[in-house]
Amino acid sequence: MNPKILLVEDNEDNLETLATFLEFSKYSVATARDGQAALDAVEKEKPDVIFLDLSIPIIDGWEVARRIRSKQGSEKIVIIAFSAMALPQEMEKALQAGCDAFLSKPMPPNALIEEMNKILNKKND
Amino acid sequence: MNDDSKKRRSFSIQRKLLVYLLIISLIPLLVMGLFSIYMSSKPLQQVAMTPLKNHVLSISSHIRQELYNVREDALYASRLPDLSRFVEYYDESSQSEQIRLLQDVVNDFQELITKRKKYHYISYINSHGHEVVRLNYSSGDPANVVLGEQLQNKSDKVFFKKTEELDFGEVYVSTVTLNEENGILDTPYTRVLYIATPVENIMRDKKGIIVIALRAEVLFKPVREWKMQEYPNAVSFITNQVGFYLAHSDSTKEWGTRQDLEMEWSLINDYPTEVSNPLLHDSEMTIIDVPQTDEIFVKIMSYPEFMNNKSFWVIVSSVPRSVVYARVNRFKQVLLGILLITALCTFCFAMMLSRQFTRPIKNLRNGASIISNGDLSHRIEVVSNDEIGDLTRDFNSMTAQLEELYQNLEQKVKERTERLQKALEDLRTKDKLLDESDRLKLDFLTNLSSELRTPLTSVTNYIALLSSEVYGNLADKQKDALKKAQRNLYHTFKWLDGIIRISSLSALKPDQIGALNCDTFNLVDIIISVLKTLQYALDEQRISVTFANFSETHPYLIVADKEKVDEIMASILNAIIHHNLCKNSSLTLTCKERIENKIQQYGLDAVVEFPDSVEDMDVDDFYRALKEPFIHSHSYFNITNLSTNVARGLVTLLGGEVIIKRISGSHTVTVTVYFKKGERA
Repeated sequence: MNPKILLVEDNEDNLETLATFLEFSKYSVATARDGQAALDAVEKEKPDVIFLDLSIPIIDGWEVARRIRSKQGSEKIVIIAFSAMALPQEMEKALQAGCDAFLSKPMPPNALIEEMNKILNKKND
Repeated sequence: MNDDSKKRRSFSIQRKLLVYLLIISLIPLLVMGLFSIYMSSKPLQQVAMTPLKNHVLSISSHIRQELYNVREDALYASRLPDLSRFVEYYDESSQSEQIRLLQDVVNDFQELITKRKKYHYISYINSHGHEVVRLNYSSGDPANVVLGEQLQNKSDKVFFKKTEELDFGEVYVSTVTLNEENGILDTPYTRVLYIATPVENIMRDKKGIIVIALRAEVLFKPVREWKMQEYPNAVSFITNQVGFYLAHSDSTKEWGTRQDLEMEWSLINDYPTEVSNPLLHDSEMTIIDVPQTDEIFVKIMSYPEFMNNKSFWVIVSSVPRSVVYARVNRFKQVLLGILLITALCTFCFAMMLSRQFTRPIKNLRNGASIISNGDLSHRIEVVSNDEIGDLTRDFNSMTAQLEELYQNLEQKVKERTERLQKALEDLRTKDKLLDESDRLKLDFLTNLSSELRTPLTSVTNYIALLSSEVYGNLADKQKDALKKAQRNLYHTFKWLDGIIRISSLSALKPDQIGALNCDTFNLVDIIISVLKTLQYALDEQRISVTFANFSETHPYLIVADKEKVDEIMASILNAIIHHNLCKNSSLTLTCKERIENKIQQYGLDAVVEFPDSVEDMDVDDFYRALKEPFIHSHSYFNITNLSTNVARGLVTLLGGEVIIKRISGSHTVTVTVYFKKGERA
């Protein structure tokens, strides 16, 4: 069974296209356009994987990751930082905030799915 | 050097000078003075004894002279013409003539004894021992003529017998004896010496003797009466050959006195043998100074040649040793006092001289101290016209030049400082502007990257949606066009990554190198961390990674700024991955160690090995893409490798080295990065 994915992205086009591709690829997809919405969605949708943009309104992505990780039972959720910021220090910052991996934008959706599966497999191992 | 040490040094010179002066003046003076005192002790003692010597010599001379006079008187009396006539004609003359002849002799004897006043009596004794003429003399004039029955027979007397044996002209001198009259000691006791000589007639027949009884006190008077000016309390005495005092300063001890008869005073009883023996037996004039007594003795033997027996006298004078040495010691003390005063004067003179000599030096030193403390306007007073004075003048001249130079220097330093401060302020201003410029540049590039990546992500996603035919089936040409769009997009991403990394690395300016937060850490940890972030790219390029000798038990500790090393390794490995256009190559990572310029280094070998199917030209291009800032070839067009080159520069700044090499003809390119080796604290 495919994992349930939460897409957190403030860019409407990116959110739409990626969600479309994931749904086309038979994934159950939930979306959020800011940090607060993301946290609410995590409570409501109980996703398996979160693609988390770091530069998002209201609450930034790092803080969102930290708050998710602060909750009990969140360790099963795979959080993948997916950001246009490509500086190494930002990658490190994301991993420290609780993200399991960091992927730089842009990344072809099929590559993104491959990467996600690898991360999931690694985590399940 | 502080002031105290300078003072000590100056005093040291003064002290040394003082010591030298004392050595060359005071010590010889003291040595000579003390030697003189020592050497003069004995002569001084001799001199001190001279009055005693003279005293005993004078007494001896007096006795000799007196005895000689008496002898002459005896001989004179024996040859008197009146006595000759008396001897010759008395028996044959008439009574009146006899009286006249006798009277003539008496008159002659009267004249003699009265004139001398020191004879007890004078007598003519005939050859039968009967006194014929005798005159006694006590005191005052005239002498008492002994007449008739009072005349005695002296035939049994020693002096008569001894004189009878003598030839005419010879004189007998008895020892000191007590005078006897009619066989009884004369009272009060009268000590006399008998001086007698034979009397002859014309036919040279012996006709009796002339005897003069000399009062012993006449001889011994000087013993008691003569006083030495130098030693008024000196004791003098004369003893006979067995030690009885014939004369003594203390008259009670004299032989022949009533007390003496009871006490039997003698030299042997009064003095220890160490004194009495040499006094009685040494023949020469002797000074006796022995520790057994407190006195010093000077003695002389007296042998009157007209004494017919073998007796002799010893004339002695003695004084307490302390009295004799008091004079010597007084002289020594005076000499020592003069010596000490001279030494004191010499010391004072030496002190004065050393101060005089060191005063200009002290003056120079004090001045130099003031100048050394920074007062270059100070001038030292020239207090002497010798070499020190010349030195002081030269020093002042040098100080003046130094002051002038210092003032010029100060002015120059002030000017330069002002210029430097201005330049520094300009630099700071420019630096701030540069900082701001760098920050703006970085912000701009970051924003640019983000702003480009976000829409490009959408584009990528749309291409992916189209390619996956989510929005419907596509013609082959459309699919092909989408692939080309995808490839160009990919190339654009590479450019974007390069720009971001350059921005990140170049933000480290030279003045920040010194502020690098260097630490000791394991290089392997960094490499693993970096590879994690690059896993996607590795997978996409299908690059297999092999770790050759990574070990948890052997940490490769290096000393560097961890954050910068992270960026450097990310930049280099990113370049290795993204410039590798061939699929299925392998990347072998090996940690290694070397010593370069005596510095131990740890490094990472990243060996990229291409499959045999890859052409050499492509490997060359890869090699150049890593090594050169820009490359344009058949494989790469307008590719930039600025971030790798900036990283190489950073490694050098961290004390390491980046080596990129390719063995010609091989399919291998090696990138080696070295850092300084560290040790765990």
